[in-house]
Amino acid sequence: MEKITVELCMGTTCFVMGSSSLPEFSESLSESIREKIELKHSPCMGLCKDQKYGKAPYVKVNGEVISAATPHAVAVRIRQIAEEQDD
Amino acid sequence: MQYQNNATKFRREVLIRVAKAMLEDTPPEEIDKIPHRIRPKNEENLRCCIYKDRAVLRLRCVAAMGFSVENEEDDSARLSDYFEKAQERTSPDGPVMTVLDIACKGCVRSRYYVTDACQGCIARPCAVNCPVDAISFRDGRSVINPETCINCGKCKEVCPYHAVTKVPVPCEEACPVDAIYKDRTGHARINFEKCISCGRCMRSCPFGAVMEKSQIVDVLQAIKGKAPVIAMVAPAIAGQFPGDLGQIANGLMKLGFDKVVEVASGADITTKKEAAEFLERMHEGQKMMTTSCCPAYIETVKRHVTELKPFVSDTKTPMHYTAEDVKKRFPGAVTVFVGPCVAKRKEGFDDEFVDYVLTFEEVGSLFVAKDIEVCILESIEPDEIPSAEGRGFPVVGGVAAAVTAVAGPDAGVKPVTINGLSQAAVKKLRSFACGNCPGNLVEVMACEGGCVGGAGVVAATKYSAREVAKVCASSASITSM
Repeated sequence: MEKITVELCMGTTCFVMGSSSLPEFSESLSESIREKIELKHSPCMGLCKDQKYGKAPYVKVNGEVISAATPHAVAVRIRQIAEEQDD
Repeated sequence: MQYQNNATKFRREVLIRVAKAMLEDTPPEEIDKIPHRIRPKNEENLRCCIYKDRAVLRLRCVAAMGFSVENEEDDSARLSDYFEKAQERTSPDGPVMTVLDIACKGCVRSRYYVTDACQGCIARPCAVNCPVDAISFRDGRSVINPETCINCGKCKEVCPYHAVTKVPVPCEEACPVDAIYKDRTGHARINFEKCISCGRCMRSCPFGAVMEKSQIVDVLQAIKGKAPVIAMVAPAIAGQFPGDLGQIANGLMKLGFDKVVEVASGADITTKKEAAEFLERMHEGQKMMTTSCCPAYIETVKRHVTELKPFVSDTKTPMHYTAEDVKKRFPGAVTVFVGPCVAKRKEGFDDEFVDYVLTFEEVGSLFVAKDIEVCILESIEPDEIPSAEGRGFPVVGGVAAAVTAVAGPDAGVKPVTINGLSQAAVKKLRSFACGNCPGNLVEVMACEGGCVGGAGVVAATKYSAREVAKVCASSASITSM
């Protein structure tokens, strides 16, 4: 089974900008998609260092950056990738 | 309203920029450009235009520097002038909240409205059941006459298509004590005689038009001074930043605090005194006692439900006992309470031992401004480990559980919790005062979920409640200490 890596940034900026609610992304996903997910918590990924604080929190899904991430946005991207994998 | 939203983000970004200006001795011309930095050209407008976005951001900066923004006398004053004035301030002052009038949408009076979902049915239960004949039938559907409507909501209840909706004024609906009114121009204002500083309006306004006056400039200024500055962290801090309590304490030290103490130790004093007081009051034949550590609740009793006064515990709050102890042990030290609470600022103004109050949101902004990565810091050991019960204060039911544990199984404690000070909860409290309380120990938490759901938190309530529980699980019970 092809894995989908989800990397949540545990940096201070991302946390202050709302990353603590991000683990909720999995709630809206089906069991079969959830099984594919490999969840990682990363220390600051350095994406906030250009001082665009408003664009945090950041999440990487299969290496691709989602800025101003919400649980919903993360779930949508995961579902897209899962569908592409199925095709 | 879900706490993670754009209004929250803007508020935090403003705090970060102001903190950065303070930490990096930013030149005045750069401070004046903060609204432009946050809202550069070629980005989507949030309001009507980029200029208004920036004008609102400018006012946010003024509030973040600790000033009230209602009726700003000179709206051409530069941010750098405010910044200079903020640094000269020797002590912060009330009121706690401030309304950014230009950010306020001026929501129309809360009303019922018939939507497109109306099918123009012939039963017309809305019109038939309206007690004031405010509903007429026009262009194939029901229409409510706002002049005669009394907002009873009957039409909404009876419509088979759910076509009637209530359009609320979020701040007014969130305010438990009717402290928000409209000025001549239709913008929200706070009646500070009535305001209990709970911060619910700030959380609920979808336009982010209510802010609190920040004390970040004051605290950073104190840190620059000679006297030791001591952070007193509320137990709700577990889970507010990515790391354990020791890492968060280390982060605070890196910010420049000279020492970090847990307010949970003060909570242990509160618990013991409150349990003794409970037993005494019951022995005297009183019917009930309410807790006293929620400052928004205390203000509510003082200003709105005075009949409850005799039932409120005389025991002081964990913040008070902690601050008193710190001032005794470290004469001349500056005390800074760090917590989830906006109303604690009001309590801080009134408490001789508390110099400043910061919210987690403000501390988080300071961490970001100073590039402090909490999750990779070393964990520092605390001098003193408070009890599991003391550390459990910030979650709904926590205070009552602590008092119950100390009072003992034979004390006959029947706890009742008020989880969130809504308008309905205030009514309930009134009925308790008249003798209709189903228990004898009433714990009141103005914020849903307890302090972990406070108006000044960073983390999602679910997440932080879990982290608080983890910390409690690793601490000893107060009964075994």
